Amino acid sequence: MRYEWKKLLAQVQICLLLLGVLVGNGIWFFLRCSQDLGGYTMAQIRQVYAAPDTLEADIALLEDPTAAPPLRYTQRPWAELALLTAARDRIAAARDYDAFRQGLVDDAALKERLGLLGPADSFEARSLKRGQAAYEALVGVTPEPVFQGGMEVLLTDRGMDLALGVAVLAGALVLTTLERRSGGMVLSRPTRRGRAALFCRKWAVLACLTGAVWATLLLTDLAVAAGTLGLGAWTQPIQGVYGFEACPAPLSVGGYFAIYVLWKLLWALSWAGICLAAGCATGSPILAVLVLAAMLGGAWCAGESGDLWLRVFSLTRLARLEELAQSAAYLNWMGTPISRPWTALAVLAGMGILSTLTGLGLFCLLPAVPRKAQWPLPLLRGPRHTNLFLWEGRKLFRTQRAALLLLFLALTQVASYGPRRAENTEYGYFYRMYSQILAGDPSPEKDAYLTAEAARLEELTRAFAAAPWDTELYGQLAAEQPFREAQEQYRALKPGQRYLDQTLYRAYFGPEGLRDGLWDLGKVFFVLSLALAGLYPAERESAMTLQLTASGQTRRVRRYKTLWTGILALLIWAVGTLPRLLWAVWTYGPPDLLAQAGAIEGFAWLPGFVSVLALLLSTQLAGLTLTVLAAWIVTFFSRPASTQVPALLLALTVTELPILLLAWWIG
Amino acid sequence: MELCFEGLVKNYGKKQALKGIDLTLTPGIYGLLGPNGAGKSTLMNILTGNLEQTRGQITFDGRDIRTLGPAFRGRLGYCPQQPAFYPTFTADEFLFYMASLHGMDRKAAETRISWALELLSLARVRHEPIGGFSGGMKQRLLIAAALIHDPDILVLDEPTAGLDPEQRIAVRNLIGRVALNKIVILSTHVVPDVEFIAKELILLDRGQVLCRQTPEALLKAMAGQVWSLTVDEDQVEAAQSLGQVCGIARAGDQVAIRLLTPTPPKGAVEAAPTLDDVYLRFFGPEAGL
Repeated sequence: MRYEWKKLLAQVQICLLLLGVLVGNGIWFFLRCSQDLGGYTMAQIRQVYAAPDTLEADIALLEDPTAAPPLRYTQRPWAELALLTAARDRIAAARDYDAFRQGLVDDAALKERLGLLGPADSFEARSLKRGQAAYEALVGVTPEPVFQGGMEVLLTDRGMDLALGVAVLAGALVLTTLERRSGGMVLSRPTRRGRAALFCRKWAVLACLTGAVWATLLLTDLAVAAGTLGLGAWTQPIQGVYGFEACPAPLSVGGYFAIYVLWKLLWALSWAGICLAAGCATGSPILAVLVLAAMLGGAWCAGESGDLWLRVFSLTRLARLEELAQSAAYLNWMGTPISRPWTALAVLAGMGILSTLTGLGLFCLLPAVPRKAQWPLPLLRGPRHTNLFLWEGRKLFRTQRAALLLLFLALTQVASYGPRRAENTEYGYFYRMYSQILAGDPSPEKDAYLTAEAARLEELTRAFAAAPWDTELYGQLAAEQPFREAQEQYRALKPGQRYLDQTLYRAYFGPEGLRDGLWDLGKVFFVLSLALAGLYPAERESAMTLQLTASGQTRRVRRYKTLWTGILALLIWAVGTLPRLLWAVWTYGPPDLLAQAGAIEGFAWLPGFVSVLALLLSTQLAGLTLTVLAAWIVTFFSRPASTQVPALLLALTVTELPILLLAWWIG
Repeated sequence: MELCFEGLVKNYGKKQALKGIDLTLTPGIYGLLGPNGAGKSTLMNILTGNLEQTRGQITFDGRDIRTLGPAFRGRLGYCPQQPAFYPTFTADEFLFYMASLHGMDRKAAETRISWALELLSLARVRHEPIGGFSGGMKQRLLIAAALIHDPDILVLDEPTAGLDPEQRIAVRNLIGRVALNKIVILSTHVVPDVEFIAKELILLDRGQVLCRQTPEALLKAMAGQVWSLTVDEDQVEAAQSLGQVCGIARAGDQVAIRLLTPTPPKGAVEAAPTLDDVYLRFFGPEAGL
């Protein structure tokens, strides 16, 4: 095993990456512990716990508009109220736990009595009964209102999963792909211990690395939690931790934490097995990361579905132990309710074992010497020219697989936006109807229409008040709120502004749209990293630097590589970000390009000369600039790297981390 | 045309890989002989620009090659010792890529590439990916890459490594043919590679030029140094102590030992020296390890 450790730790950049991951996780967790939760922080909630006697009185004073607001913890009344309410909810959740638990039991009994879930032998009825029994068994569990904020944050943190995932991935890629690419497998394969025994040594090293990284991450987070929020009382029932009130298991905080530690370790080991299998199967770090990304994408989709079975098979979802612990939901196994946590455990362990065995099989059976590729079709034969610029492009798009990655991105975006449909709500329907009438420059006819329509709706309101059972009137009055919105929007137009149907702009610039845009940028950076990380290491790995230097064309080759990097960045940006705009325009109609952008919701601050076209172009330009910057960062790591793996992992970490942080911040 | 190495020194930290090389080369084939670590590859890497010298300079027709830059590189053809190509490229694509690096136009490249592939028996596999080539095919491809732009200076680092005897002879003859009016520096451990074609042999050891002579002169200097002694099997060990052993072969029931010694051993017959004997005389038996 010593030599496998040496192979891993000899990669200085990988060691630096691991160190960065550990430090970054500590910083991230500290930020989470001190995160603004809506005008207040968890530490302030802890302060409130220290003085609970004045809580109710202070809330009453804050809610009284005539009283002077007591500001003990924050500087703003609304923040103070939010803080005290949050603290009260947590204290009440613990103090009133028994009533809450009994409420769940009674609710289940009532549903059973009323037969709301079908016959007694149906899955729904049986799972309800099992849940009821689980909660009934918790009689006597009495959590005390002790501040458990540290554990609340720790047990729901996602940063550790990401840090652990990256560290394990780095180790797996080094132990599998580097060896194959350097030709080391040709030497080890014919030896006595060069197959299964060698793979087991690699697995053991990766498992040790996983354990060591996990332990370090956990201890770091515990230290940060202890220093900022405290670790609470571990002998208290887990039901005393906010968010875990509905946990059906009779566990203490310490007991749950122990399960959490082991669960995460098992999850990380399963991930390690999957990464090893991917590395053994592909032999290329780029392909391995691509395969893993596709797999994680599928896992994420499964995890977001409403089907509990799909979610239990999602590796990304399985990282969230708290979801299994926060309710008494059961899986339907041929009509029989089965435990979700135990099933998830079996699935996770099965994934780990299966992936490890798959990796073992691939490692032992796949040839150490790459299969001789045939290129029989004359039409697909390579170009015959002496244009160095075009050759550098060929190297990038074929040898570095940039073309394949572009195709992958295109298919991903088609899958993301192709099936999407417009939001069809009644409100939206009426709003669009009014917007169609009011679209464009204000006019006396539109003013008259608004007056007439307002009068008509008022009449309807009076009629409905007199006949509240009239469903037709009720249906017609659904237009009232959308009309009010359209009317206010029309009246708020400044001179020179046109009325714009906000639907398209909300879809594109609204919170959901911004989040989609952020994820698109994340996909763009991901593909850029995969395509460009090997740009310079490939020359070293193939020893072509000797030929390039001897030819005296190194600078020219570098210049051309830079040009192609820019072209690729442009292509990836276009494929990655334009589908969202195209989808929005296709779904909601084209924008009024010449209208003032200040008429768009959220952009009232823009000066009058900025058109919608200018706004759209600016946002596209901003995205393109960020993409070019990301490309520069990737080539910055690629240039000095002698192998692809560290360049790839560093590039991915640096470019994707801001995306993840922003996504978390947006919420 | 003249290539001069003037006081060339290369240090790796405290280790001096080249200790002041002074050489003047004119058109012809020069065999660069020396054991591992002699400085052959260092010398070649400095000439090809893959390494920077610590002191000294290399001039071509009186001008420093660093000043000449692309003008010199365009006249240099290099066949490295280690495989240096893109495995996913076909042979054809790789040579066109190399042609583009040398600034050749398409028509000239097509002609020269076809010529080189025919010459090195690679025409049948020109459209196959290099990653699937045998070791010998890869080596021949590297030689082809060094020749396509008709360079004036050819630097060949172990060009026959991995080739079978027939291919070795073919490459040797090829070098002999194309070396007309070129300066060819051929680094090798296989003495027969240069024995018949080299104008001069440059013997390099521990960063210094030990000797620079024609093969004939070197062999002449070995007169009276190489002896052949035939002994019984049980006397072999004793016989080996009489001088440096150049070779041992079976001669019926006895063993013929070839010895390198200025003092003729009793019963020994003078043998015609070969360049292998020259190599052993200068570099000793440890040079082979």
